[in-house]
Amino acid sequence: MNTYSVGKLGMAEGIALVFALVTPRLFLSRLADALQQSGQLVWLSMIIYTIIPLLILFMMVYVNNRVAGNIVVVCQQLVGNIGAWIIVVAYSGMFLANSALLLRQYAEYTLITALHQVDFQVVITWYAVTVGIICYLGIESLCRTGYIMLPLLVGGPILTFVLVSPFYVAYNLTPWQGNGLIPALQLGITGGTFNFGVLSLILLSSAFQDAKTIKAIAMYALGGTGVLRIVFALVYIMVFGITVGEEKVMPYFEMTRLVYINEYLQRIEVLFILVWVILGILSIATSLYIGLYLIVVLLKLPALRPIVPLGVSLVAQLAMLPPDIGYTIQADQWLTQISQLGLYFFPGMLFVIALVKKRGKKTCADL
Amino acid sequence: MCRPLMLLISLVYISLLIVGCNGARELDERGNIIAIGLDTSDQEGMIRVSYQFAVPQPEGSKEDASKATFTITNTAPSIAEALNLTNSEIPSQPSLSHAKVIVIGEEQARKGLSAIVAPFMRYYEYRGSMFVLVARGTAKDFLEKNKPLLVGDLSKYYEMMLTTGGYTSYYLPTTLHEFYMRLKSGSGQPYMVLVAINPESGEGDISTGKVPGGKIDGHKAGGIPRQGGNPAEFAGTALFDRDKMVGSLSTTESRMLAMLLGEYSHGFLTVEDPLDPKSFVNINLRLGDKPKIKATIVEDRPVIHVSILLEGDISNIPSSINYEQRNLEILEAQINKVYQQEMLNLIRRTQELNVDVAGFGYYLRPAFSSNQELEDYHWNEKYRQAEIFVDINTKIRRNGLMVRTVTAE
Repeated sequence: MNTYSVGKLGMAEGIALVFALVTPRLFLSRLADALQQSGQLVWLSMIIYTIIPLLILFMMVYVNNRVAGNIVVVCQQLVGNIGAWIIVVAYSGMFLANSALLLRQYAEYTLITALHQVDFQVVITWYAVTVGIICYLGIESLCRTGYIMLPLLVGGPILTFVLVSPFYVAYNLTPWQGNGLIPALQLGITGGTFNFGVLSLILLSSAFQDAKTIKAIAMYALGGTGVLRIVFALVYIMVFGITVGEEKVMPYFEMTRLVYINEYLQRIEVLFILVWVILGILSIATSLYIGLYLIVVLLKLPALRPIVPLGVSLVAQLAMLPPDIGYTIQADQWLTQISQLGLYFFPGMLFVIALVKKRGKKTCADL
Repeated sequence: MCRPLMLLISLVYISLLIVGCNGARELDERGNIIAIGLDTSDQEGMIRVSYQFAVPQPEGSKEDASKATFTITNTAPSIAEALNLTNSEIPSQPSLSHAKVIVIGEEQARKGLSAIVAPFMRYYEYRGSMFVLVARGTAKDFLEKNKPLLVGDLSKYYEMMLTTGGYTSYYLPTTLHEFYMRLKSGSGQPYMVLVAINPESGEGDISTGKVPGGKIDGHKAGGIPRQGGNPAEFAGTALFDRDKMVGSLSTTESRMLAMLLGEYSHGFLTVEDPLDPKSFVNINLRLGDKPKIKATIVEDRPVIHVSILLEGDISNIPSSINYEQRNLEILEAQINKVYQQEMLNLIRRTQELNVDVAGFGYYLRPAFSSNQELEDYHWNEKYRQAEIFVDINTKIRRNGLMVRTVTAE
């Protein structure tokens, strides 16, 4: 078996895969940005940007049903060799860039929240080494680790929501239209790229049993993540309000800092750091794996493992390029915009071509 | 065999390095700051920052808590620079991660806090769960003269004083998070606990007098008539118009504020005996429900209806009048009258200062459809114009341990 074989992934592993790819930014600054744009109506944006990627995934499942084979073969059949190269290289680049920017942000936030005295290079190196080892083990191990960790990754935030309940001010959820309907709709459309990772199910489609399984995974994973996101946003607004909420670099960390149960049980944010660090490592490793997998498939290389150290090194170097955290966040926003190509343009184009080719295909009766 | 072993070793190695042990410091290398005091300085552009340190004590030490602390005051352009200077004065590295309270001198509070609060929200060693206090006089004086009793350490003292504040609601514990939220919300104004050093002369000052039918005077910190004990006391509430202190509430007014905020736990009320005005009746009162507050805008003027349900137990009837089986309604009406008046006095006072510390503005938020509309309304400037109606409804549920009062022959 080739070391890049994606093996066999079930429903649980698939859900963990998508969860790891679409949730890490929930623990970073993106919620604060979303509040600035949508205000109290952020929940509507979140519903929209859960539904749109789901529909796009269904379109891609349709394409996959029309043309059998991995993503390179599908693209070659529909848009030719050059088109396939452009599409696959673009997807690979997006996943690798995602991995690099997440690595930088998680390293920065680890420095801010936990390891204040440690040198930046040390933190980023150890994140990269850990990611490299996990990535080296392969996608099956990655997804199963994610599945095992899933109760902690979901339970941690839910426990936090309960523990900060003394700080809830329900009236912060009003005025209910927030900054207006139009900004919320705009964010709903552009924010679809937060769920761009769901396309990994198509990129790794050969690992799943059938199209029905892929659809079910996408619905459960995006639905569950969507609910978690919405509850997270509503709790965050109730605790911090919109004005203060917009200021926070790490919404989740700030909520955990408020936890005060009694004299003996307080200042326990370090326990919750585990939640987002584990999620971050899984997410960086998964993105890195998919980025490298696409290169391997495109170049028809015999194995993936030998290029993992190279990939880790590349991602770590990229992560260290931005001069400061502000630039990193800006670069992350650019990536979100560029990812719209991967979410809207490529799938839309492949879907239309697949539709047209189906109609153009002549049946025996036509001859 | 070799590969998994290598992998295992590398994972253990990584886990050892990433848990943060490389940044560890011994306990005695840390100077734990428990309280931070902020006062104005005579020098232009400077601030006086006092740090109250905890001296680590052996487990089970009988040492007096007040002796297990020391305070250092530095005059510096910023709080951060004052902390730097502190490092030149003590052998250990000052740490704020255990700081419980920020005490602000009244003069500084009246001058404005926006420039002071900002670093507290940004730097990682401060946290929103720290309590904020305003000291009548100076914060330095308060920290130095505070001699905690009953508890073994200073940290526990502050924590207990502030977490038990709800027992009588004579002061309202406020965290930095709550203060900052109010500062930025535009739907209410911030407040803090008022503290002071009592001269212990036994005389005290009356800040708010009795209302008709009432028997209790309101005091502010430093004005409680008492002798003995720790001279530091927590009583009353400092009121802010945005970041500037503009006034303060007494103990009885703070209790009314607690009711409006839905944070009144319970407390004894002493009222004039309605059937024997020379005597009094004690009732242990609590909130029967969260206050029901309805806010609307009528012809651009805010109209607010407040309805408060109180439940009480009789704890003392020195006149021996049998209220338990007859005349309970008279007693309830007396309590309603006293609290209604105290509540209206509080509202009138906050409207005079134009500071909506009760947060009525939050109840008005659903009346707006967007944040822009809400901002354009400028609630904090309109609070003074609000028409506020108060309805107090008291139900005496229990008679204490006596089923009836039998008058002596």
